[in-house]
Amino acid sequence: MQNLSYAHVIKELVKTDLKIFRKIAVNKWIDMFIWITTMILVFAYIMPAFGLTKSYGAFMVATMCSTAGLFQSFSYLAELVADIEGDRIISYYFTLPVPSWLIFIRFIIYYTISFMVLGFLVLPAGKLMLWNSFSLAQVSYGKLALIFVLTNIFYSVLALWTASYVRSLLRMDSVWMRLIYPLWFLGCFQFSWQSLKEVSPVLAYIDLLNPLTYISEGTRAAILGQQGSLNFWLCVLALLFFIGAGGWHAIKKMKKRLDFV
Amino acid sequence: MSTKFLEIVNVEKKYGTKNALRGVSLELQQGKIIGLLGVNGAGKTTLSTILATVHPPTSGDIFFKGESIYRNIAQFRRKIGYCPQSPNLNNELTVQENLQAHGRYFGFGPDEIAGRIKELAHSFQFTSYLDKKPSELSGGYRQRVSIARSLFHRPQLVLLDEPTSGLDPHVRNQLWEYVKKMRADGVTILLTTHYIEEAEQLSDYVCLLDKGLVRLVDTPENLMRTFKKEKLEQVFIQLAEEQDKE
Repeated sequence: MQNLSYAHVIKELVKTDLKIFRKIAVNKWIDMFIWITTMILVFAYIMPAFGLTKSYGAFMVATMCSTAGLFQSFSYLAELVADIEGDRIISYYFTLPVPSWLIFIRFIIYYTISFMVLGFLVLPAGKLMLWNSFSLAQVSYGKLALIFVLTNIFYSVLALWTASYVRSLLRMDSVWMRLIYPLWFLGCFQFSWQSLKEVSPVLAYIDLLNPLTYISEGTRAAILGQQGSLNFWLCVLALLFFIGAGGWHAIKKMKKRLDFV
Repeated sequence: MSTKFLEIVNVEKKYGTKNALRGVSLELQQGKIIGLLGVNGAGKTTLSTILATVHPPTSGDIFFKGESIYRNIAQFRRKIGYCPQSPNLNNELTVQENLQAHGRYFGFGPDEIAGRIKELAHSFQFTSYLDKKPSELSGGYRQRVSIARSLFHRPQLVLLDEPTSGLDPHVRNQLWEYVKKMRADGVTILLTTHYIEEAEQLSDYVCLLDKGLVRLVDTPENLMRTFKKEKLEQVFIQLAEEQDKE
Protein backbone atom coordinates (compact mmCIF):
# COMPACT_ATOMS: atom_id res chain seq x y z
CA MET A 1 0.00 0.00 0.00
CA GLN A 2 2.94 2.30 0.64
CA ASN A 3 3.90 2.11 -3.02
CA LEU A 4 0.45 3.07 -4.17
CA SER A 5 1.11 5.41 -7.06
CA TYR A 6 -0.96 8.39 -8.10
CA ALA A 7 -1.36 6.78 -11.52
CA HIS A 8 -2.96 3.73 -9.91
CA VAL A 9 -5.55 5.84 -8.07
CA ILE A 10 -6.37 7.89 -11.17
CA LYS A 11 -6.60 4.73 -13.29
CA GLU A 12 -9.04 3.19 -10.80
CA LEU A 13 -11.12 6.38 -10.66
CA VAL A 14 -11.36 6.47 -14.46
CA LYS A 15 -12.24 2.75 -14.51
CA THR A 16 -15.10 3.45 -12.09
CA ASP A 17 -16.25 6.37 -14.25
CA LEU A 18 -16.21 4.19 -17.35
CA LYS A 19 -18.14 1.48 -15.54
CA ILE A 20 -20.90 4.04 -14.96
CA PHE A 21 -20.56 5.30 -18.54
CA ARG A 22 -21.09 1.77 -19.89
CA LYS A 23 -24.53 1.76 -18.29
CA ILE A 24 -25.58 4.86 -20.24
CA ALA A 25 -23.49 4.47 -23.40
CA VAL A 26 -26.25 2.87 -25.50
CA ASN A 27 -28.60 5.74 -24.73
CA LYS A 28 -25.90 8.24 -25.57
CA TRP A 29 -25.24 6.48 -28.87
CA ILE A 30 -28.94 6.64 -29.73
CA ASP A 31 -28.89 10.39 -28.97
CA MET A 32 -25.81 10.78 -31.13
CA PHE A 33 -27.31 8.77 -33.97
CA ILE A 34 -30.45 10.93 -33.98
CA TRP A 35 -28.32 14.07 -34.09
CA ILE A 36 -26.13 12.77 -36.94
CA THR A 37 -29.02 11.56 -39.10
CA THR A 38 -31.00 14.75 -38.56
CA MET A 39 -28.07 16.97 -39.48
CA ILE A 40 -27.13 14.95 -42.55
CA LEU A 41 -30.74 14.73 -43.67
CA VAL A 42 -31.15 18.49 -43.48
CA PHE A 43 -27.77 19.58 -44.85
CA ALA A 44 -27.20 16.87 -47.48
CA TYR A 45 -30.70 16.16 -48.73
CA ILE A 46 -33.05 19.07 -47.92
CA MET A 47 -30.87 22.20 -48.04
CA PRO A 48 -29.52 21.49 -51.57
CA ALA A 49 -33.13 22.04 -52.73
CA PHE A 50 -32.66 25.64 -51.49
CA GLY A 51 -29.48 26.08 -53.50
CA LEU A 52 -26.89 24.69 -51.09
CA THR A 53 -24.08 22.82 -52.85
CA LYS A 54 -24.38 19.01 -52.88
CA SER A 55 -20.93 18.60 -51.34
CA TYR A 56 -22.08 20.45 -48.24
CA GLY A 57 -23.13 17.13 -46.68
CA ALA A 58 -19.52 15.92 -46.64
CA PHE A 59 -18.43 19.30 -45.26
CA MET A 60 -20.93 18.93 -42.40
CA VAL A 61 -19.94 15.34 -41.59
CA ALA A 62 -16.34 16.47 -41.27
CA THR A 63 -17.36 19.25 -38.90
CA MET A 64 -19.75 17.07 -36.92
CA CYS A 65 -16.81 14.80 -36.04
CA SER A 66 -15.39 17.75 -34.19
CA THR A 67 -18.62 18.89 -32.55
CA ALA A 68 -20.00 15.69 -31.03
CA GLY A 69 -18.05 16.19 -27.80
CA LEU A 70 -19.24 19.75 -27.36
CA PHE A 71 -22.83 18.70 -26.65
CA GLN A 72 -21.70 15.94 -24.35
CA SER A 73 -19.51 18.42 -22.46
CA PHE A 74 -22.63 20.42 -21.66
CA SER A 75 -24.13 17.32 -20.05
CA TYR A 76 -21.01 16.69 -17.90
CA LEU A 77 -20.90 20.35 -16.98
CA ALA A 78 -24.47 20.11 -15.67
CA GLU A 79 -23.58 16.94 -13.72
CA LEU A 80 -20.59 18.62 -12.12
CA VAL A 81 -22.51 21.76 -11.17
CA ALA A 82 -25.34 19.61 -9.75
CA ASP A 83 -22.84 17.71 -7.61
CA ILE A 84 -21.10 20.85 -6.36
CA GLU A 85 -24.48 22.34 -5.46
CA GLY A 86 -25.87 19.10 -4.04
CA ASP A 87 -24.33 15.86 -2.79
CA ARG A 88 -20.72 17.02 -3.05
CA ILE A 89 -19.40 13.60 -4.02
CA ILE A 90 -16.40 15.57 -5.26
CA SER A 91 -15.41 16.20 -1.60
CA TYR A 92 -14.93 12.44 -1.20
CA TYR A 93 -12.38 12.46 -4.01
CA PHE A 94 -10.39 15.09 -2.10
CA THR A 95 -9.84 12.53 0.65
CA LEU A 96 -8.27 9.95 -1.67
CA PRO A 97 -4.50 9.41 -1.65
CA VAL A 98 -3.63 11.76 -4.52
CA PRO A 99 -2.99 15.50 -4.70
CA SER A 100 -6.36 17.23 -5.13
CA TRP A 101 -5.58 18.80 -8.51
CA LEU A 102 -5.14 15.32 -10.00
CA ILE A 103 -8.84 14.70 -9.41
CA PHE A 104 -9.47 17.21 -12.20
CA ILE A 105 -7.00 15.47 -14.47
CA ARG A 106 -9.05 12.33 -13.88
CA PHE A 107 -12.21 14.21 -14.94
CA ILE A 108 -10.43 15.34 -18.10
CA ILE A 109 -9.27 11.78 -18.90
CA TYR A 110 -12.72 10.30 -18.36
CA TYR A 111 -14.57 13.02 -20.24
CA THR A 112 -12.14 12.76 -23.16
CA ILE A 113 -12.52 8.98 -23.42
CA SER A 114 -16.31 9.15 -23.32
CA PHE A 115 -16.45 11.99 -25.90
CA MET A 116 -14.22 9.95 -28.21
CA VAL A 117 -16.32 6.81 -27.78
CA LEU A 118 -19.41 8.79 -28.84
CA GLY A 119 -17.67 10.81 -31.55
CA PHE A 120 -16.31 7.70 -33.29
CA LEU A 121 -19.81 7.08 -34.59
CA VAL A 122 -19.94 10.19 -36.79
CA LEU A 123 -17.57 9.22 -39.59
CA PRO A 124 -18.96 5.73 -40.36
CA ALA A 125 -22.55 6.96 -39.96
CA GLY A 126 -21.80 9.87 -42.29
CA LYS A 127 -20.27 7.54 -44.85
CA LEU A 128 -23.28 5.22 -44.66
CA MET A 129 -25.73 8.07 -45.19
CA LEU A 130 -23.84 9.95 -47.89
CA TRP A 131 -22.09 7.02 -49.52
CA ASN A 132 -20.79 8.21 -52.92
CA SER A 133 -21.00 11.90 -51.99
CA PHE A 134 -18.49 11.42 -49.19
CA SER A 135 -15.10 9.99 -50.01
CA LEU A 136 -12.88 8.62 -47.28
CA ALA A 137 -9.94 8.41 -49.71
CA GLN A 138 -8.58 11.83 -48.77
CA VAL A 139 -8.84 11.30 -45.01
CA SER A 140 -5.50 11.59 -43.23
CA TYR A 141 -6.16 9.16 -40.38
CA GLY A 142 -3.06 10.12 -38.42
CA LYS A 143 -4.01 13.78 -38.45
CA LEU A 144 -7.64 12.94 -37.72
CA ALA A 145 -6.64 10.89 -34.68
CA LEU A 146 -4.47 13.73 -33.37
CA ILE A 147 -7.05 16.48 -33.82
CA PHE A 148 -9.83 14.21 -32.53
CA VAL A 149 -7.97 13.56 -29.27
CA LEU A 150 -7.02 17.22 -28.82
CA THR A 151 -10.56 18.35 -29.60
CA ASN A 152 -12.05 16.11 -26.98
CA ILE A 153 -9.45 17.06 -24.38
CA PHE A 154 -10.37 20.66 -25.10
CA TYR A 155 -14.10 19.97 -24.56
CA SER A 156 -13.26 18.29 -21.26
CA VAL A 157 -11.29 21.33 -20.16
CA LEU A 158 -14.14 23.56 -21.34
CA ALA A 159 -16.62 21.61 -19.17
CA LEU A 160 -14.38 22.04 -16.10
CA TRP A 161 -13.65 25.68 -16.80
CA THR A 162 -17.31 26.51 -17.25
CA ALA A 163 -18.31 24.54 -14.13
CA SER A 164 -15.90 26.66 -12.11
CA TYR A 165 -17.97 29.72 -13.04
CA VAL A 166 -21.55 28.44 -13.00
CA ARG A 167 -23.05 29.07 -9.59
CA SER A 168 -26.29 27.17 -10.01
CA LEU A 169 -28.10 24.74 -12.27
CA LEU A 170 -30.67 27.47 -12.85
CA ARG A 171 -28.02 29.36 -14.81
CA MET A 172 -27.28 26.54 -17.21
CA ASP A 173 -29.46 28.03 -19.93
CA SER A 174 -27.27 31.15 -19.81
CA VAL A 175 -24.20 28.96 -20.34
CA TRP A 176 -25.79 27.60 -23.45
CA MET A 177 -26.97 30.96 -24.82
CA ARG A 178 -23.97 33.06 -23.80
CA LEU A 179 -21.08 30.67 -24.25
CA ILE A 180 -21.69 27.39 -26.07
CA TYR A 181 -24.03 28.69 -28.77
CA PRO A 182 -21.87 31.66 -29.91
CA LEU A 183 -18.68 29.60 -29.69
CA TRP A 184 -20.28 26.87 -31.78
CA PHE A 185 -22.10 28.98 -34.34
CA LEU A 186 -19.17 31.34 -34.91
CA GLY A 187 -16.64 28.52 -34.65
CA CYS A 188 -16.61 27.79 -38.40
CA PHE A 189 -19.08 24.97 -37.87
CA GLN A 190 -21.17 25.71 -40.96
CA PHE A 191 -18.65 27.72 -42.96
CA SER A 192 -14.92 27.77 -43.50
CA TRP A 193 -12.65 30.43 -42.06
CA GLN A 194 -11.63 31.42 -45.60
CA SER A 195 -15.25 32.11 -46.56
CA LEU A 196 -15.73 34.11 -43.37
CA LYS A 197 -12.64 36.15 -44.25
CA GLU A 198 -14.10 36.93 -47.64
CA VAL A 199 -17.32 38.17 -46.03
CA SER A 200 -15.72 40.04 -43.12
CA PRO A 201 -11.94 40.01 -42.54
CA VAL A 202 -12.36 41.74 -39.16
CA LEU A 203 -14.79 39.12 -37.89
CA ALA A 204 -12.55 36.39 -39.32
CA TYR A 205 -9.52 37.63 -37.36
CA ILE A 206 -11.59 38.04 -34.20
CA ASP A 207 -12.79 34.48 -34.76
CA LEU A 208 -9.21 33.29 -34.43
CA LEU A 209 -9.73 33.82 -30.70
CA ASN A 210 -12.44 31.17 -30.78
CA PRO A 211 -10.97 27.71 -30.06
CA LEU A 212 -13.78 26.02 -31.98
CA THR A 213 -12.50 27.66 -35.15
CA TYR A 214 -9.30 25.62 -34.89
CA ILE A 215 -11.28 22.49 -34.05
CA SER A 216 -13.58 22.79 -37.08
CA GLU A 217 -10.81 23.84 -39.45
CA GLY A 218 -8.30 21.27 -38.21
CA THR A 219 -10.81 18.42 -38.42
CA ARG A 220 -11.85 19.40 -41.93
CA ALA A 221 -8.20 19.64 -42.96
CA ALA A 222 -7.72 16.06 -41.70
CA ILE A 223 -10.86 14.66 -43.34
CA LEU A 224 -11.31 16.69 -46.54
CA GLY A 225 -7.72 17.76 -47.18
CA GLN A 226 -5.76 20.89 -46.37
CA GLN A 227 -7.12 23.01 -49.23
CA GLY A 228 -9.59 25.66 -48.08
CA SER A 229 -8.88 25.18 -44.36
CA LEU A 230 -6.55 26.82 -41.86
CA ASN A 231 -3.17 25.11 -41.65
CA PHE A 232 -3.60 21.85 -39.74
CA TRP A 233 -0.50 22.31 -37.58
CA LEU A 234 -1.51 25.85 -36.68
CA CYS A 235 -4.81 24.37 -35.46
CA VAL A 236 -2.93 21.77 -33.39
CA LEU A 237 -0.70 24.42 -31.79
CA ALA A 238 -3.65 26.70 -31.05
CA LEU A 239 -5.56 23.83 -29.45
CA LEU A 240 -2.57 22.88 -27.33
CA PHE A 241 -2.44 26.46 -26.12
CA PHE A 242 -6.16 26.57 -25.29
CA ILE A 243 -5.95 23.21 -23.51
CA GLY A 244 -2.93 24.29 -21.44
CA ALA A 245 -4.18 27.75 -20.56
CA GLY A 246 -7.79 26.63 -20.09
CA GLY A 247 -6.83 23.63 -17.97
CA TRP A 248 -4.57 25.68 -15.71
CA HIS A 249 -7.22 28.37 -15.27
CA ALA A 250 -10.03 25.83 -14.73
CA ILE A 251 -8.12 24.11 -11.89
CA LYS A 252 -7.20 27.49 -10.38
CA LYS A 253 -10.84 28.62 -10.45
CA MET A 254 -12.03 25.27 -9.11
CA LYS A 255 -9.56 25.56 -6.24
CA LYS A 256 -11.06 28.90 -5.35
CA ARG A 257 -14.62 27.68 -5.71
CA LEU A 258 -14.27 24.36 -3.89
CA ASP A 259 -11.56 25.55 -1.50
CA PHE A 260 -9.58 22.33 -1.78
CA VAL A 261 -6.06 21.75 -0.50
CA MET B 1 11.37 11.48 23.26
CA SER B 2 8.01 10.39 21.84
CA THR B 3 6.60 12.02 18.72
CA LYS B 4 3.13 13.44 18.96
CA PHE B 5 0.54 11.57 16.91
CA LEU B 6 -1.39 14.54 15.57
CA GLU B 7 -0.86 18.13 16.54
CA ILE B 8 -3.05 21.00 15.40
CA VAL B 9 -1.18 24.26 15.77
CA ASN B 10 -2.97 27.61 15.76
CA VAL B 11 -5.31 26.72 12.91
CA GLU B 12 -7.48 29.52 11.60
CA LYS B 13 -10.19 29.35 8.97
CA LYS B 14 -11.86 32.36 7.46
CA TYR B 15 -14.81 32.36 5.07
CA GLY B 16 -14.82 35.90 3.75
CA THR B 17 -15.05 38.05 6.86
CA LYS B 18 -16.33 35.22 9.07
CA ASN B 19 -13.82 33.48 11.33
CA ALA B 20 -14.94 29.86 11.56
CA LEU B 21 -11.81 28.86 13.50
CA ARG B 22 -9.75 31.37 15.45
CA GLY B 23 -6.44 29.77 16.30
CA VAL B 24 -7.28 26.22 17.30
CA SER B 25 -4.47 24.24 18.90
CA LEU B 26 -5.12 20.67 19.93
CA GLU B 27 -3.29 17.39 20.31
CA LEU B 28 -4.66 13.97 19.42
CA GLN B 29 -3.03 11.00 21.11
CA GLN B 30 -2.58 7.68 19.40
CA GLY B 31 -5.21 5.09 20.29
CA LYS B 32 -7.47 7.59 22.01
CA ILE B 33 -10.93 8.87 21.23
CA ILE B 34 -11.42 12.60 21.39
CA GLY B 35 -14.97 13.90 21.41
CA LEU B 36 -15.41 17.24 19.69
CA LEU B 37 -18.34 19.10 21.15
CA GLY B 38 -19.90 22.48 20.62
CA VAL B 39 -23.09 24.20 19.59
CA ASN B 40 -24.02 24.68 15.93
CA GLY B 41 -21.56 27.05 14.27
CA ALA B 42 -18.83 26.39 16.85
CA GLY B 43 -16.47 25.18 14.13
CA LYS B 44 -16.63 21.40 14.65
CA THR B 45 -17.32 20.46 11.04
CA THR B 46 -14.85 23.04 9.78
CA LEU B 47 -12.13 21.49 11.92
CA SER B 48 -13.10 17.98 10.78
CA THR B 49 -12.96 18.90 7.10
CA ILE B 50 -9.58 20.58 7.56
CA LEU B 51 -8.22 17.45 9.28
CA ALA B 52 -9.74 15.36 6.50
CA THR B 53 -7.82 17.57 4.04
CA VAL B 54 -11.01 18.48 2.19
CA HIS B 55 -10.30 22.16 2.87
CA PRO B 56 -7.06 23.96 3.78
CA PRO B 57 -6.70 26.16 6.86
CA THR B 58 -6.30 29.89 6.28
CA SER B 59 -3.28 29.79 8.59
CA GLY B 60 -1.65 27.44 11.07
CA ASP B 61 -0.41 23.91 10.51
CA ILE B 62 -1.18 20.30 11.33
CA PHE B 63 1.57 17.83 12.16
CA PHE B 64 1.23 14.08 11.86
CA LYS B 65 3.97 12.27 13.75
CA GLY B 66 6.05 15.42 13.69
CA GLU B 67 5.67 16.27 9.99
CA SER B 68 3.33 18.80 8.42
CA ILE B 69 0.53 16.93 6.65
CA TYR B 70 0.78 19.42 3.79
CA ARG B 71 4.29 18.21 2.88
CA ASN B 72 2.86 14.99 1.47
CA ILE B 73 -0.89 15.20 1.56
CA ALA B 74 -1.47 12.00 -0.44
CA GLN B 75 0.53 10.00 2.09
CA PHE B 76 -1.45 11.51 4.97
CA ARG B 77 -4.72 10.71 3.20
CA ARG B 78 -3.80 7.02 3.19
CA LYS B 79 -3.78 7.13 6.97
CA ILE B 80 -7.10 8.85 7.56
CA GLY B 81 -10.69 7.80 7.18
CA TYR B 82 -13.33 10.50 6.99
CA CYS B 83 -17.06 10.07 7.38
CA PRO B 84 -18.81 13.38 6.65
CA GLN B 85 -22.04 14.53 8.22
CA SER B 86 -23.99 13.91 4.99
CA PRO B 87 -23.10 10.69 3.19
CA ASN B 88 -21.55 11.44 -0.20
CA LEU B 89 -21.74 8.02 -1.80
CA ASN B 90 -21.94 7.59 -5.55
CA ASN B 91 -25.60 6.99 -6.40
CA GLU B 92 -24.76 5.55 -9.82
CA LEU B 93 -23.03 2.59 -8.14
CA THR B 94 -24.44 -0.03 -5.80
CA VAL B 95 -23.33 -0.13 -2.17
CA GLN B 96 -21.01 -3.01 -3.02
CA GLU B 97 -19.54 -1.17 -6.01
CA ASN B 98 -18.98 1.94 -3.87
CA LEU B 99 -16.99 -0.10 -1.39
CA GLN B 100 -15.13 -2.06 -4.07
CA ALA B 101 -14.09 1.16 -5.77
CA HIS B 102 -12.87 2.60 -2.48
CA GLY B 103 -10.81 -0.51 -1.85
CA ARG B 104 -9.22 -0.29 -5.27
CA TYR B 105 -8.38 3.42 -4.80
CA PHE B 106 -6.44 2.38 -1.70
CA GLY B 107 -4.62 -0.45 -3.45
CA PHE B 108 -6.53 -3.44 -2.06
CA GLY B 109 -6.67 -6.65 -4.11
CA PRO B 110 -9.96 -8.37 -5.07
CA ASP B 111 -9.86 -10.99 -2.29
CA GLU B 112 -9.04 -8.44 0.37
CA ILE B 113 -11.84 -6.20 -0.90
CA ALA B 114 -14.36 -9.04 -0.82
CA GLY B 115 -13.32 -9.96 2.72
CA ARG B 116 -13.46 -6.40 3.95
CA ILE B 117 -16.92 -5.82 2.43
CA LYS B 118 -18.22 -8.97 4.10
CA GLU B 119 -16.77 -7.97 7.45
CA LEU B 120 -18.01 -4.36 7.39
CA ALA B 121 -21.43 -5.21 5.93
CA HIS B 122 -21.86 -7.71 8.77
CA SER B 123 -20.63 -5.27 11.42
CA PHE B 124 -22.95 -2.49 10.26
CA GLN B 125 -25.75 -4.82 9.18
CA PHE B 126 -26.24 -3.86 5.56
CA THR B 127 -25.39 -7.21 3.95
CA SER B 128 -28.85 -7.47 2.38
CA TYR B 129 -28.49 -4.01 0.85
CA LEU B 130 -25.18 -4.55 -0.94
CA ASP B 131 -26.86 -4.68 -4.36
CA LYS B 132 -28.93 -1.54 -3.79
CA LYS B 133 -27.92 1.93 -4.84
CA PRO B 134 -27.41 4.42 -1.99
CA SER B 135 -30.31 6.52 -3.30
CA GLU B 136 -32.60 3.53 -2.63
CA LEU B 137 -31.58 3.31 1.03
CA SER B 138 -32.90 5.17 4.06
CA GLY B 139 -30.73 7.90 5.56
CA GLY B 140 -29.66 5.58 8.39
CA TYR B 141 -28.43 2.87 6.03
CA ARG B 142 -26.62 5.40 3.85
CA GLN B 143 -24.88 6.60 6.99
CA ARG B 144 -23.84 3.05 7.89
CA VAL B 145 -22.35 2.53 4.44
CA SER B 146 -20.59 5.87 4.63
CA ILE B 147 -19.06 4.94 7.99
CA ALA B 148 -18.02 1.54 6.63
CA ARG B 149 -16.35 3.19 3.64
CA SER B 150 -14.38 5.54 5.89
CA LEU B 151 -13.06 2.55 7.85
CA PHE B 152 -12.50 0.30 4.83
CA HIS B 153 -8.78 0.94 4.34
CA ARG B 154 -8.00 0.52 8.05
CA PRO B 155 -6.94 4.12 8.71
CA GLN B 156 -4.81 5.12 11.68
CA LEU B 157 -6.92 8.23 12.26
CA VAL B 158 -10.69 8.17 11.84
CA LEU B 159 -12.71 11.38 11.62
CA LEU B 160 -16.39 10.80 12.30
CA ASP B 161 -18.58 13.88 11.86
CA GLU B 162 -21.92 13.33 13.60
CA PRO B 163 -21.79 9.63 12.68
CA THR B 164 -24.80 8.51 14.68
CA SER B 165 -27.32 11.18 13.73
CA GLY B 166 -30.19 9.39 12.03
CA LEU B 167 -29.15 5.98 13.28
CA ASP B 168 -31.46 3.71 15.28
CA PRO B 169 -30.37 3.22 18.92
CA HIS B 170 -29.30 -0.40 18.40
CA VAL B 171 -27.16 0.52 15.38
CA ARG B 172 -25.73 3.42 17.36
CA ASN B 173 -24.72 0.93 20.06
CA GLN B 174 -23.10 -1.30 17.44
CA LEU B 175 -21.12 1.63 16.10
CA TRP B 176 -20.01 2.47 19.64
CA GLU B 177 -18.78 -1.08 20.08
CA TYR B 178 -16.95 -0.91 16.77
CA VAL B 179 -15.36 2.41 17.74
CA LYS B 180 -14.20 0.92 21.05
CA LYS B 181 -12.76 -2.06 19.17
CA MET B 182 -10.85 0.26 16.84
CA ARG B 183 -9.45 2.13 19.84
CA ALA B 184 -8.31 -1.17 21.31
CA ASP B 185 -6.52 -1.79 17.99
CA GLY B 186 -4.65 1.51 18.39
CA VAL B 187 -6.76 3.62 16.03
CA THR B 188 -7.19 7.28 16.94
CA ILE B 189 -10.70 8.67 16.56
CA LEU B 190 -11.99 12.22 16.41
CA LEU B 191 -15.69 12.05 17.07
CA THR B 192 -17.77 15.12 16.37
CA THR B 193 -21.10 14.76 18.04
CA HIS B 194 -24.16 16.53 19.35
CA TYR B 195 -24.89 13.67 21.71
CA ILE B 196 -23.15 14.41 24.98
CA GLU B 197 -24.00 10.92 26.20
CA GLU B 198 -22.12 9.53 23.22
CA ALA B 199 -19.07 11.65 24.03
CA GLU B 200 -19.24 10.60 27.67
CA GLN B 201 -19.50 6.91 26.79
CA LEU B 202 -16.74 6.83 24.21
CA SER B 203 -14.30 9.69 24.63
CA ASP B 204 -11.02 9.52 26.46
CA TYR B 205 -10.93 13.30 26.10
CA VAL B 206 -13.51 15.85 25.15
CA CYS B 207 -12.79 19.15 23.48
CA LEU B 208 -15.33 21.93 23.64
CA LEU B 209 -15.24 24.33 20.73
CA ASP B 210 -16.92 27.66 21.11
CA LYS B 211 -17.06 30.31 18.38
CA GLY B 212 -14.03 28.88 16.67
CA LEU B 213 -11.90 28.57 19.80
CA VAL B 214 -10.98 25.63 22.03
CA ARG B 215 -12.67 26.40 25.31
CA LEU B 216 -11.48 23.35 27.20
CA VAL B 217 -9.96 19.92 26.75
CA ASP B 218 -10.10 17.30 29.48
CA THR B 219 -11.26 13.81 30.32
CA PRO B 220 -15.00 13.44 30.98
CA GLU B 221 -14.21 12.25 34.53
CA ASN B 222 -12.06 15.30 35.31
CA LEU B 223 -14.69 17.66 33.94
CA MET B 224 -17.43 16.10 36.04
CA ARG B 225 -15.17 16.24 39.10
CA THR B 226 -14.12 19.84 38.50
CA PHE B 227 -17.66 21.04 37.91
CA LYS B 228 -19.05 18.75 40.62
CA LYS B 229 -21.59 17.16 38.28
CA GLU B 230 -22.65 13.56 37.81
CA LYS B 231 -23.20 13.79 34.07
CA LEU B 232 -21.16 15.39 31.33
CA GLU B 233 -24.36 16.87 29.97
CA GLN B 234 -24.78 18.87 33.18
CA VAL B 235 -21.25 20.23 32.78
CA PHE B 236 -22.07 21.46 29.30
CA ILE B 237 -25.33 23.00 30.38
CA GLN B 238 -23.43 24.95 33.04
CA LEU B 239 -20.78 26.00 30.53
CA ALA B 240 -23.43 27.06 28.03
CA GLU B 241 -25.12 29.16 30.70
CA GLU B 242 -21.79 30.79 31.59
CA GLN B 243 -21.20 31.56 27.91
CA ASP B 244 -24.64 33.12 27.61
CA LYS B 245 -23.84 35.39 30.54
CA GLU B 246 -20.57 36.45 28.91
